[in-house]
Amino acid sequence: MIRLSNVSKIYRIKDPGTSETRDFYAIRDISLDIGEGSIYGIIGRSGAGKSTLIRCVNMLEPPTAGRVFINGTEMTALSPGALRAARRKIGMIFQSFNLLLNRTVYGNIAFPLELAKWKKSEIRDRVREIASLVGIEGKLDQYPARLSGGQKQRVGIARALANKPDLLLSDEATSALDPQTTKSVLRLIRDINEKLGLTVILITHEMNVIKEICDSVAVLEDGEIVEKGPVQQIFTNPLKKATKELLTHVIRSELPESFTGLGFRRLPSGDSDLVLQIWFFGDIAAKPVVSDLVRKFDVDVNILVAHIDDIRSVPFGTLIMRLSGEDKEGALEYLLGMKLRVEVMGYVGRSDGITR
Amino acid sequence: MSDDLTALLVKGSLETLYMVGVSSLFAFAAGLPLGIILSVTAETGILRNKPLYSALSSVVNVFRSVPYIILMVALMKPTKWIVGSSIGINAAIVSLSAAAIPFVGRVVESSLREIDPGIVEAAQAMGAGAGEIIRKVLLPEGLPGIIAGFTLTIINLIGYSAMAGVLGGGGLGDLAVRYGYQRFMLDVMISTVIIMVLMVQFIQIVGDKLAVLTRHDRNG
Ligand SMILES: Nc1ncnc2c1ncn2[C@@H]1O[C@H](COP(=O)(O)OP(=O)(O)OP(=O)(O)O)[C@@H](O)[C@H]1O
Ligand SMILES: [Mg+2]
Repeated sequence: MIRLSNVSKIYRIKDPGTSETRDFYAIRDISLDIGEGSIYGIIGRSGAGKSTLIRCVNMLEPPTAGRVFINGTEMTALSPGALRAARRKIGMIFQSFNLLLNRTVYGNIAFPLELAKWKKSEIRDRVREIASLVGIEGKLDQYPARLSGGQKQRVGIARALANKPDLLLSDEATSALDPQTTKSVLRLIRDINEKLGLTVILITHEMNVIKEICDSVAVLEDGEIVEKGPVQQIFTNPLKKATKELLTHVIRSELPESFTGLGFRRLPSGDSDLVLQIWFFGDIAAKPVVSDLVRKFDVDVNILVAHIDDIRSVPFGTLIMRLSGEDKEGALEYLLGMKLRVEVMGYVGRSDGITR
Repeated sequence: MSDDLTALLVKGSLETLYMVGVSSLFAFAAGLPLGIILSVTAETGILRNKPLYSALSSVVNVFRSVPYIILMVALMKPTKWIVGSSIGINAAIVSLSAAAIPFVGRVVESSLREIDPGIVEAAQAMGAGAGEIIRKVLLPEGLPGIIAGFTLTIINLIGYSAMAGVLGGGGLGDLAVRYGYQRFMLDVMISTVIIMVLMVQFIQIVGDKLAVLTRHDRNG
């Protein structure tokens, strides 16, 4: 298990205006527990402190305050020699791959094993084994310059895994890759996590990546964790503005502008229509909620926005719909009684041209 | 051309090769570690050490800003003390080495500085210590640049050694001055120039070839 307790990193920076130095918290008072074998995502916008945080885990950036534990070992208290030994059991992959350009793929994967003083013959076997695990066995004699981005990252992953680490750190490992390649690299990390029971800490600025492979996620904003929890919870019930903003890229949950221009009223007036958004997750997604609604109540349903997706093969989605008719309140009641998150967005006059 | 002249040219060439060869060896033997120390103690290095870096860097700058001909004169006293004489080819080796060591140091430093810091960081993340990073990351990754720098050093030394010849250092430069210039023997002058051009060409071609052979960081 990995535990960060009250970790902060302060940089002394020069104020450009006054040219005085002052303290800047790149991360502030971060506490996290990461369960063994899980894939933990850390998401935030550029400059939020993600890289600083992950680099505090393996002490590439020693924290200014706080403590870091990996499987009971306090990383923040190790001697330089012990720290090097501990790092040999932590793999790390990078956005820019950081492969040795004057070593072949074989040489790159062998590198951590040489550091760990493996025997030549054992290195040979291990490199072959791990290369075929990541699907790069045909490229062992190539130099990195000749590989595609996806292949380079596979080499990066193979190198990170070669010495059988307990923990894999990934700093934007897919940010330089196209969507297709990103998917395949993420799937590889997922597979390895399942096969080897490896704990993974993964940093990204894309909710898609979190959705694809993480179990839990922490949202970082201005160096602080604003929200954290299981991925399904964060996706279906985001509480903080920062989280919702990050989610808008994966879940289209906003009305198109042609609607928002009309203006909602907070309260019903006359026979105005009700606009509401529902979020569903899991089994309920398979149920015919909308047709039930129409059948059971005297309402018409007009779907304005619909988005369905899945988080690790559990379906989830959101609907924005406009209800008109006599029994809107009854229908709303019915929806609230189901295991759905329902949000009333407002009311629009019947004559307002939302229906097309 | 008479047999005498041919013998003179052969002797001069061998002396030049000897001066350049030995001073190159000294230059590499001392310049390589100097360059490594400069690069690892620099601001961005793995063993950052500002006082040491500043001190070494200043010394290097002083030596590099003195023109060779002046360095040669300035070093006459210590040269006499080291090799027993302040003229001749062994004396020339002292000043040639003194000029080339700081040059090699800078060339090595700048080759190592060009290495992507991300690669060094990845090695640190894998638990590599400073020695392992120098041996397994910096030197192999910087090798093509170092080879190119060595090539340049040798070529510079060929030129400098001719200058040393003017002050009685022996070698082709000495020959060109004494026979070609002072006795107006145009054939000697031309021959020495041709030999030196050939030497430079040869070194350049071999150096380029080696640099290409050791460079794998480009797609091609
Ligand atoms: N060595 C440093 N000195 C001063 N400030 C730094 C240093 N390293 C990082 N910072 C600052 O700390 C903050 C967090 O940086 P960090 O690299 O962790 O962000 P990030 O979330 O990884 O961003 P990105 O998505 O762009 O990689 C930034 O404001 C950055 O400018
Ligand atoms: Mg970053």
